[in-house]
Amino acid sequence: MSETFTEAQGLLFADMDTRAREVVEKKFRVRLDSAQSSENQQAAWEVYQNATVKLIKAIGSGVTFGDAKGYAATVARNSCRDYWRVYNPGWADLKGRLSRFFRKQPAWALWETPEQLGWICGPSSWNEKAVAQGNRISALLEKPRSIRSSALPRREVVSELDSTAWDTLLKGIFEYLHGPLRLDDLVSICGVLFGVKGSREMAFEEMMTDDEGRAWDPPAPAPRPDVALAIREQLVKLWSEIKAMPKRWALPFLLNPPVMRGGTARKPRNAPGEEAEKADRGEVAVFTANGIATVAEMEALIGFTSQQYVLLWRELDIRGKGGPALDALMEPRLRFAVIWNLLPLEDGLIAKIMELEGAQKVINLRMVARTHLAKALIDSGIPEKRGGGY
Amino acid sequence: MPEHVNEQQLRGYRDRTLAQVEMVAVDSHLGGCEPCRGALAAMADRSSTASILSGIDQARFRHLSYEQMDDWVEDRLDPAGRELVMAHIGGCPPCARQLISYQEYAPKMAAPIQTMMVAATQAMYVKQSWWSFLKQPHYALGAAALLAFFVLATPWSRHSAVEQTGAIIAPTTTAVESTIPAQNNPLNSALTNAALNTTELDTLPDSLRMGAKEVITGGESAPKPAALKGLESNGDATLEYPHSEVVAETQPVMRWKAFGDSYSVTLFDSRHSMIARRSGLKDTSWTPPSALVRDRVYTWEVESGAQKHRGTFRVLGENQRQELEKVKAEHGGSHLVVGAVSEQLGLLTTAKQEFEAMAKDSAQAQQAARLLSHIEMLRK
Repeated sequence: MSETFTEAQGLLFADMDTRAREVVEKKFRVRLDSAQSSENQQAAWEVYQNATVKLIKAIGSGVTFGDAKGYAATVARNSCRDYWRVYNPGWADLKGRLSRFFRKQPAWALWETPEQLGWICGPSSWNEKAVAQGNRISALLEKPRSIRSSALPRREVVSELDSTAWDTLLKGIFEYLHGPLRLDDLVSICGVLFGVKGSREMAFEEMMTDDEGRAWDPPAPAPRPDVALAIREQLVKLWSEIKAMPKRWALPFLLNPPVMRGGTARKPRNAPGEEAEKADRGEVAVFTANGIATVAEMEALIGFTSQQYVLLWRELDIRGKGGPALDALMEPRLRFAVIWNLLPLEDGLIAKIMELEGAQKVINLRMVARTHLAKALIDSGIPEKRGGGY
Repeated sequence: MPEHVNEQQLRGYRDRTLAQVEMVAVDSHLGGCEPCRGALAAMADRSSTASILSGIDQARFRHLSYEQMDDWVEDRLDPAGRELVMAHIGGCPPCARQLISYQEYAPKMAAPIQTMMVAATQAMYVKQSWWSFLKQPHYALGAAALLAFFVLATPWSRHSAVEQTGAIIAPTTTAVESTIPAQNNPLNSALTNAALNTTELDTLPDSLRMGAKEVITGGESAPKPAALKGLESNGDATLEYPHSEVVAETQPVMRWKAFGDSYSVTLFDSRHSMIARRSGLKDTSWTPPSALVRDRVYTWEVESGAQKHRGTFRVLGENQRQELEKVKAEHGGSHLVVGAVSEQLGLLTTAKQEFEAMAKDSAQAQQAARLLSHIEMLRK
């Protein structure tokens, strides 16, 4: 652990570390302090250590956590998942096959319940039926060939099974279980049957699907003098990339920048007198405040048209809030200066400005921008300077 | 604003609390004053900076969902959705690998299930129908007579059965060959004189044999391969690869001749929606960040300064790719066969390479030159 931690940070770390450890142990179904030294346990240690490093860096960066334990759990889950995806692609492929099968075959279905994490699967007529008993699932996970033999495929090679063969196999499995089960558990059962690496040990929750996701990761470390320059380099690189981006990517990013959950945030502006409940937007002024770009450069890059200014004036009720009349400001720089102080904007308003069908398109385009920017930072090797990811 | 900005103004600028006129004045000053920008940067909120950087970094962990993969393989994504998928897989090798796999097995998993129960029921129904049909006396008598005829007629017809049915059930190689002009073709005699081993083409699958022979025997009058339909032919000599052709690989390395110091490359799909872009390239090649979809047409543009060059290509379909692989496995040693099949499939660069290799054999050089000339014509 970092020697520069304060006592409070040390206590925070202890709490978060305990939670991360619990998650990794549960995922890998091992005790990390066990005397055993199986391959699975070594993998668990590797993942746990990676998660720990991320937690140390997150705490060191000085970000305030709304839910420190939740953050730690997510970091641990992300580390597990990334390890799994890299080292056990067969499991992810198997899950993809079954996911596709359940989504596309009318006799089968995927659904969600409030009681269970992730997707539940089974015959489509079973969606009201109670989930299969845990002991039956465990038994099948141990011995998947316990199902009636006529349901077993002739050759246990995943790639050779067509939809009919899967249908037969799944009928056998669900006959045995007497109830639906989590898709991840089914994938593990089939994985054991087909000899897919790691299937017995791990089953992950479905990915989160909300806007910015719960799959956050640690922020940058504390801006010590030796890394302050690196942070500035990142901002310069980012600004350069943003300038080269298609406008349809840059606009959603600049008008409502993302921020790490739990970090410093602003509330997006929308209709008169209203502010969004979530204060989870980034500070667009980070580029100007760090002397990387001027507001004039921002204005030139965003390039609002006269019609867009009319829309903004109306939607933001600038006159109603005591702002200047649009006609009184003939210079685009002065017009933009008014808007600049009101950023970030709500995605619904950005959609109107960009003439997109809805806020989801804005979210997608911002994610495209973020992904490109993240990749640009990786390509330039900058994330490694500040600690990097898994 | 001739004098430097004071601390209060810098704070107002940082916090976005200045009135617009003052903000514009301060901003103008900062644009040209390095010391004031330095002073401003020193006051910046570090936590906010770290937070936005982490917000960007988090995008790497938003992996593709199976719903996105479904939409991708079924071509239901809007431009923003496609851009999102392309952007993510460009930086996430596990997702790229998984999406490629998904594309391969998705059709199989969505194929209708052959219900055994229905098949058994149908078999039972047919069986019962036959029995009930035969139980009727007037049909039973006819059926018995028909059966007797087959039993008695079989020995007499046995020796001629192959000739009578063979042409209908399984066309012979001869029957297929007869559709290719065999006479009055100057190239044909040239090929014969040069002793090109065209008989190897006979062993190609039916789907490839005729087209491959057309490539060899048609000379300059050979028709344009159907695989090139819909691809722009602009003869732009700056573009090296791919242009006006089909490519076998899903991530072709795009190459062009140098015409500037720094290049921007943009890739569009068939609806002209941008799916990838890279700026600031110093090299004269670029590889798309992720696999392209087979059997789709793409357009790419490379620009430097005011110059822009544009090419179109199609990614070889999966069935054709498998056929080509099979041909290569069985005829890998024959530049003629692989070249002819490649040209037929629209893989002009591959065909060119094969015919160039063929040209090194002096006995085949003349014919190879003719075939190479035809490939160049196809690009124009």
